[in-house]
Amino acid sequence: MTRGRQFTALLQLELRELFRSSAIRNVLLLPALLSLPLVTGAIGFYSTTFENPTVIAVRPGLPTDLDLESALRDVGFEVVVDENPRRLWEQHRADAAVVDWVTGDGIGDAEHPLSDEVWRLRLLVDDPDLAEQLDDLVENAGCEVLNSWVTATGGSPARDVTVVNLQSTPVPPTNTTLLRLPRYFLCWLWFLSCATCAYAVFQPYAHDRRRGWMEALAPLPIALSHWLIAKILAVTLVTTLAAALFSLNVLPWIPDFGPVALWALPRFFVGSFTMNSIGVLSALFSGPDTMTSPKTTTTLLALMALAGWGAFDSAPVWMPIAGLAVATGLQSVLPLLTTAGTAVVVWSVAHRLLERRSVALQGSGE
Amino acid sequence: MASTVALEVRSLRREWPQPGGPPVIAVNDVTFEVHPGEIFGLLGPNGAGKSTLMQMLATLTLPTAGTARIAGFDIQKSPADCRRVLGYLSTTSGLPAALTVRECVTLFGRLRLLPNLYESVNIAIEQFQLSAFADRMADTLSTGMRQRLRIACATLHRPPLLVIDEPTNGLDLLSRDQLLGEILRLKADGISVLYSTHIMEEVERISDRIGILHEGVLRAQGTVPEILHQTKNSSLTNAFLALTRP
Repeated sequence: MTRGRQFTALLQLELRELFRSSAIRNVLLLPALLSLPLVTGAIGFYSTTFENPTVIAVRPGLPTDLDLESALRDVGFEVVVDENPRRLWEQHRADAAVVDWVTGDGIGDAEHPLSDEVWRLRLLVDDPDLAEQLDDLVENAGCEVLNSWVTATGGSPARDVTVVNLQSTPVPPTNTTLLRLPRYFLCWLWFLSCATCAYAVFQPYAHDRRRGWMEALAPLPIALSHWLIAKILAVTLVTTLAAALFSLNVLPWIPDFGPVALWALPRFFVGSFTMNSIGVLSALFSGPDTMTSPKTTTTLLALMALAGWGAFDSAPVWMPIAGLAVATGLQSVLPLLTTAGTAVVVWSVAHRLLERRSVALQGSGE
Repeated sequence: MASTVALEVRSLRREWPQPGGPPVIAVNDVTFEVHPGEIFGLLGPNGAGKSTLMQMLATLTLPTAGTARIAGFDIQKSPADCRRVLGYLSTTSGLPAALTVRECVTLFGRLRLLPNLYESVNIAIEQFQLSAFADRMADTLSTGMRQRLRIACATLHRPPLLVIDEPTNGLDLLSRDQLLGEILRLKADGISVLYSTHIMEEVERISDRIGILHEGVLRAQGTVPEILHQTKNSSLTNAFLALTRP
């Protein structure tokens, strides 16, 4: 508790210094302003360049009488037939999923024509507009089939009768590209905030060596570092776990940041953790006289952080190599983090959109 | 733990290992005491081991051998307690540049977990005559003012012992005089001071007792008359030269 208060005091100091100095303008705002149009442009480019068709995942074996696949394709939807359409929908690879259906008792009898359901479809969709559109589509498709049946049996047309009971899942609309855009920006802002905090957390060690003012408190930074490393580890693990969980929709009540969270957050925290751990370990195992200069240390830590970041998970091989090349020319950790974070966000958006395009192409058989 | 001495140093030794050679002995079996309310002047030429000795007392560097107790707390067994009862100002101690004087003192108070933080901060600012500059950025102060601010931060928690390493380096005559006055005022407030310098006049003016350190060895200690008697010299300068001459 007491160390928590001391740590808070130090963190406030670092943030206050950061915001009062030119560093806020030179290493935070300018890169941020630079990255903002980059992110906007990348999202706009991919949103407009790729058609991004609406993808409907369906299980194989839909009732042939209904012929829903043709009805969906006729209005321009891409149909992906998959054994597990729910998974595609949960992974945001499909805008809607037909996950189940029940065939009803038929069209009734002569006295009560059309009183029973013919089909009941279970549809997963989180965009209300799309849900309504599918509702109409499926109902019309059903009515067309029924009309032909009714006509064949001498009955009257059934346009005004609901013959398809559509069940959609009532979840907030999050699965459209336009609605997802603010979330990408939110994620980007979140990343920027984390980068700022990581910078501030890291700085006491550099400041200790650079200006020596903390010596007046004797080895308090060293005493804090044991506490700090444990907290960083805990935060890293918990946040990475949470990011993974809500990216997979395991915990639906946690805000869903979309795929960006899955890609960016764990990587960020691994990088941040690596950087801070090395900083703490350096402070622990280096004597005051043998610590390398802050500039050298910061560059070294930035390189290690990016290498750790890039090596995590399934990043392409070129990513850490390119990152190391970029980092070599950088002398401050925050522009590096901002640039790298922006790159990851842009890359994640592009990756996501390209993946959806690929899924759509596979589904349409192109 | 109550103690009758503010600082008790027993056979303290620090060696710095050298690759391919014998270790450098920075501090060699040093023994002395600082009593409550006393200023002990540690006099020695550059490289005598003063800073290393103070770093060990501040628990920044581990001793190779020997012990030291600050207000009864062992520097190796209870380093956290030692830090709690110690004010330490090294030659390299700086200040957070982008904070005002008041914010600097407040920060140190928060790091020291002071119960009556703002009251203590106001008292310290007033005592060290920093009121007129309380809202100025620390890095805009003069060298002498900054040094006073450093001492105010280091003593905010009213430690029984202040360890201060060559605080008058780079100060003009007036600033030096003011600073020495502040240290005497701390002594009057009951704070013991271990004061390191290589300037004779300073230790003669403020110190109750003196220790002369040379090549890591405490060559002599006592009051000025005692040291003059030991070395059979009539001035402290001559006594110092006699003790430190190769």
